[in-house]
Amino acid sequence: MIDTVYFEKEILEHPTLARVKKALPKANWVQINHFQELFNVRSQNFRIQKRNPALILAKKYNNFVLPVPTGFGMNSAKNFYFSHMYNCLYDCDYCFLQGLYSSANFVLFVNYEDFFDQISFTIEKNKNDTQMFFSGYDCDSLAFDKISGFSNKLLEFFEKYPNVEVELRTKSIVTSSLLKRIPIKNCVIAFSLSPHTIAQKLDNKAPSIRRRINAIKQLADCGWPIGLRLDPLIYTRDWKVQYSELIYDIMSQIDESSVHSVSYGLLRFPKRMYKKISSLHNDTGLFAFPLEENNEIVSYGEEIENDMYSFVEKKLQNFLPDTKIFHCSG
Amino acid sequence: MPSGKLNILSAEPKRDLPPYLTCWVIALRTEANPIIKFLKLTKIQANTNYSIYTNEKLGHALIVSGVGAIQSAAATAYLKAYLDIKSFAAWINFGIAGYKKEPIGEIHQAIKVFSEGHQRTFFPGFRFSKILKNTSLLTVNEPEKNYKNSVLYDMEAFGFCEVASKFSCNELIFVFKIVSDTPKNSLENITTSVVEGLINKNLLTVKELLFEIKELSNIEMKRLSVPSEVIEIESLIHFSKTNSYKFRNLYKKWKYFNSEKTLNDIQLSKKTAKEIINFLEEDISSNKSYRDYL
Repeated sequence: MIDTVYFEKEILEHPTLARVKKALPKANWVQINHFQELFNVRSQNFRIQKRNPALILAKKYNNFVLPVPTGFGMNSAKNFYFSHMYNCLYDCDYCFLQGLYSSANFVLFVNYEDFFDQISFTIEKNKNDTQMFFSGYDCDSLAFDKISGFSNKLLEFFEKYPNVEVELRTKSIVTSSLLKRIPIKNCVIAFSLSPHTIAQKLDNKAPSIRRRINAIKQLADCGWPIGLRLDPLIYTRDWKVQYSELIYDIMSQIDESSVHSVSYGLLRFPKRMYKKISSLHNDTGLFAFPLEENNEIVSYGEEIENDMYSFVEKKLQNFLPDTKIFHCSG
Repeated sequence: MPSGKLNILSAEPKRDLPPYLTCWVIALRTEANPIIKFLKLTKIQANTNYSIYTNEKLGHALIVSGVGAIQSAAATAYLKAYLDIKSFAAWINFGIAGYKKEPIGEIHQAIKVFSEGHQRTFFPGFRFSKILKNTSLLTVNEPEKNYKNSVLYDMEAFGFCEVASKFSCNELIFVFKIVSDTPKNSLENITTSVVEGLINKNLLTVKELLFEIKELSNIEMKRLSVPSEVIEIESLIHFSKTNSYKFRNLYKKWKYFNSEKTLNDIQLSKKTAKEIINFLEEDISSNKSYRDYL
């Protein structure tokens, strides 16, 4: 449970703050000037902070909507992402956020209305193209929802744009609010998944794969379009067996028609980010692998990459048409 | 033993005893006394600019800074340099403070530290909200008598945070204050015995805090410490800065799969830094497909 909420004095009257206050009645509330004075401090220890992160409520002023990195999108011509939150409730060993931010505290931008204004503007500006928006790039889209209430607002917003797709990426099984409402066909609930043993070791604090698959099944049965995200693919001695089992486990429980898309991508980091993340983990086998550096990107290297890509792709093709399978390199 | 020089970059403690893991910066001797007794600290018998107390076995060091933010900052830097304190040590600013509300004698952790006339605000320490109250603190230049805001008032924490945050990570910088004066219990009532009494009353909480802090310091020590065999090899063979960085990283990976082995045998047949690095690279890569990385 979050014990401390830092809030910018500017947002004292904002309704999201009132909502969070109700959700966290026992928290200690501390006023700050600007979230960066706390979030961007250099000498923070991400690993220690992760043991008890605080919540920072702030107002975002710009960069509400950004184009996705190259290689990230799927079928749409234009792909964008937005981050109403920085950092995640879970603590996955491979997570790039620990290399991106110096703080493990959660930042929640309370001015959802400004995000929606900017998304509307972007939709209008690109109305002649197919578009997809991604939520959950810098956070988990659903894990914090009981406190933030963001996803409901997001769904209400995208209901008005049936031709524009939105993805909520998550590892969370907090899906009750989704199950209560009529599915929105342009809204993809995308689950990040790894084989059981890998998730057990690396996806710290996240729901087990079994529970994630149960959540997928429930949502699929309700009619929500499902995204399956096998990203990052993690190399280990028996990865072929593990990924075969995972794909079978999922696809034997849901109908192909429920699957909007599957994407897969290998473990990869920008060089500087890798340096920072690996320095935080002394005892994780994940970083004992002799990763290779190519064009400032650190990854498993071409040989393993090709091997894993073609294997996973073939396994997926047993259950899904090619039009639903995407290789993500962003 | 004190190093007597500003050696803040050495990788491994030179003492045979464990390194100092907890450093106390306390304004007055009166406030320090209960901690000195509790931790069985003894005064360093040397010609130092400040009174310094240590317990080498327990890994505690304490400096009496004098009153004021500048004094506190200076003493923090002095202790760091004098005892060659490592970056995995925790720093604690401890003492009494004014507060708007009773109860007198309640211990708080300051999680926001600011000072009028300064732009910067500090948010020190891993928060121990299950053990004690977390509060904001305003460092003032003169003793506060109005207690206008619902914050702790002290005269040192801001200076302490400014300097200590350069030595260890923010999560290992702590400010703990015990309420000594309020609008109902004025500053004038505070005597030596009152202060010692207030602190003694909180020693059990202090003990609990120290247990938690030591765990955090140990995590950081484990992360930052350079293994002795790496230091030994680097002292025998010349490594450039880049090669040393490479060597240490490769060693970490190599050790993960060779926890029972040491590098000493290899070092006998490898004469240069490059040879050692090449050996490690080849050894790590040779069986990469067959290892379990979980």
